[in-house]
Amino acid sequence: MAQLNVTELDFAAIKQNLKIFMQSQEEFQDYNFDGAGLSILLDILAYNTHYNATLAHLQSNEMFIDSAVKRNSVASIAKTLGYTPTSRKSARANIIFQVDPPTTYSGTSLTIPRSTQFTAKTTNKTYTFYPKEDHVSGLVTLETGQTGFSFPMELIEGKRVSNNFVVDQSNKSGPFVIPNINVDTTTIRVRIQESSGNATITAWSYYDDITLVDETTRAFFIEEGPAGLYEIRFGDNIIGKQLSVGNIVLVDYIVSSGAAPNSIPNFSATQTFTGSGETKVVYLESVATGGQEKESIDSIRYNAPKFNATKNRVVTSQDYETLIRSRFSNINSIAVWGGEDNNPPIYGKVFISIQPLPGSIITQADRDIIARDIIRPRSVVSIQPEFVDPIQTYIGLDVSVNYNKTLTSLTSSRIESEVRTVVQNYFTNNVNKLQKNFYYSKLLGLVIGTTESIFSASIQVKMHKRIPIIFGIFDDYEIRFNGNLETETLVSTNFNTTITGRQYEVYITDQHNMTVGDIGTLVLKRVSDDVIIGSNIGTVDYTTGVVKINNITVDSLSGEETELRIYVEPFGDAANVLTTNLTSTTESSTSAVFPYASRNTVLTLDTSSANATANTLAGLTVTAIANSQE
Amino acid sequence: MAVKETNRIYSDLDLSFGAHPITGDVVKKYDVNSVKQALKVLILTQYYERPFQPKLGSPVYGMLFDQVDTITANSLKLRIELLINKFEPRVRSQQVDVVPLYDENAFEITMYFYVIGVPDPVTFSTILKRSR
Repeated sequence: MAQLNVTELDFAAIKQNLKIFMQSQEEFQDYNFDGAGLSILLDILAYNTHYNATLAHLQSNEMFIDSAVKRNSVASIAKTLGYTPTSRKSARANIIFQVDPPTTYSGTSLTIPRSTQFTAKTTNKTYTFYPKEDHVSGLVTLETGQTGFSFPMELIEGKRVSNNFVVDQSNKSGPFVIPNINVDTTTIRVRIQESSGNATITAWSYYDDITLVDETTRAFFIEEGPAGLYEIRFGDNIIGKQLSVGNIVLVDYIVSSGAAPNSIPNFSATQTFTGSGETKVVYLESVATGGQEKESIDSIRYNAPKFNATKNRVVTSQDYETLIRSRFSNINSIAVWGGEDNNPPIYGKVFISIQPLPGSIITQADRDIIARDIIRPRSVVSIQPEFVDPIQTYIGLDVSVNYNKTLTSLTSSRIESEVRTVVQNYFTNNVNKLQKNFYYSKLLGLVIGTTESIFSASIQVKMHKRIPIIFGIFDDYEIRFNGNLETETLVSTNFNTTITGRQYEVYITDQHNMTVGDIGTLVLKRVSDDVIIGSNIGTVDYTTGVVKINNITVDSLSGEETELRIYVEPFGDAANVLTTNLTSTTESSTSAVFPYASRNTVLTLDTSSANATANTLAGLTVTAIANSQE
Repeated sequence: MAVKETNRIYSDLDLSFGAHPITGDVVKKYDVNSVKQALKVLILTQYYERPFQPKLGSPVYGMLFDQVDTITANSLKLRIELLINKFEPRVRSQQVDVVPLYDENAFEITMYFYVIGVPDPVTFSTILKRSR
């Protein structure tokens, strides 16, 4: 009995299977010759089978979020998971716009409508911004001392567009497709006009949680459609109110330029509001930020299943991370921890630290949105979110490698350059994020593996923190390194201070106090002769890595420095630098507001150059030593 | 039901797909005739015509639009010889003659060959003329 093997997908293999099948037939002997009529039929059969197999393969790929390639497939699967991919987002800026009217103007109030255009220029392009809403002001005293109108407002970048749709029998619940792929969906406003003959207009609201919607709620929903365009849908009189035939859907929104206008500071309004001779001034409160591109396919693939796992509730720290990431795509890393993990424990709070992507910032407005719109409606009652800025610990490395010069034609400077690249890549890919640790042995392995000729390497680790200083006032400083420190390795950059009416250039260093245990005393030493001129200006706890500087005044910093640096060395020869939080040993209540967990620490490679005047140490130094013996 | 004829070496479908007047089966071609049909198919197959087999075929089709002269005729001859040697292992080619027919804008192709397993020499002649 002839058997046809059906496991192959490749054209040649399918044809071969058909040939084997034909071999078992008696009628034809010419199947195996290229010119034979039967061979042509085999080609057609194999081609047809291959065609169907490829189609089935592509179809099955597109059915799963992990293997789907087309955006509409990924978005469609995400839709079943309850996840709407984020659209482009417009950059937003806050300004105070003041108008000093001419003497001919007699009005006592002025309205700046939301259609007012403001422009802002980069070096090669002009962007348009609009007020978020209409603003009204009465006469007030302006910054200039004159009387006029003042409007604190939020500006949104883009172009205002409106579309109207007439409801018929077939689309009483939508969808109504927004014909602009670059729409910022957070700016969509939907209003419903009763009919062409009835100008009554009602406002409808966006909902992403159907538990808040009943059959009378004037709600609309947003989904990403098959062509990548966003669609507006309405209820069915069970979940959300349905539209009626003849209604006119009035949709307006902003079409965004994405991330390009971020950081623009210079806004101006060209329109005349009160008449010829008026003076218009724009005071900047915050530059344009928050502009971002449409969510990528990879991002949807990553976020949608995690979003589904949260079930639209924030309970675990992973839920917080997923929900925040699903709304903001300019995030590099997030750390979230409960107050019970804090040191000291602060119950009832959840701490959130967000590291934005390079070149972007998370504004206070973004934080307000996260707390008010994302977390609050979904969180467990009595849990307060608290934002903590990421703080950086700079790691300086002195790398020394020995290489066998008979195994390579590379010069020592070339090897140094390659090792430097390896170190920088290690930090970029593995370390420079929240909740990432620096592992000495891992880096050592990578350095040795740079080229085959390197047979040994040693790395000296030094770390430092940078403290912003307010000059000329007495202040206390507390710096936390979150780990064991080597004794008598602490040193600061040089600065000027006044002691008993006389100014000295000094630096801070530590002296191990044997009688107290793992505690050191901080002293001030004069730069010129290393003589101690200030004793006991603070302490360093070598076990916990806490450095406390008490009551010093900094008049100025030496060199071109803008921040005071405190250098230390981690304990041990092969020291890891960890950002895991310190475990609290006692349960205690505290009124402290700011947490001291190290989870908001980002480890960053120190790439600064040495500066003898400021006593700044070189960040990354690499030395390659040629050696013919291994 | 077709019954295998034991004295036949090669058999193939007739690409005219006519029905046998008695059995109703698709008509078949045997031995020399099946090889001749295969040669005709090969000569008229262009590169990239067969799926996934881009090199199967010859440029003969396109060459019919070249100048009708002895240079083109010689080139056709070489191509056809190469094609037979490469893709038709049942044939031992003796000679290929290509004569340009100037008045008709065509080439007369005559092939003299042996079909392996068949003792008699075979002559296959056809006129190739561009039609469009």
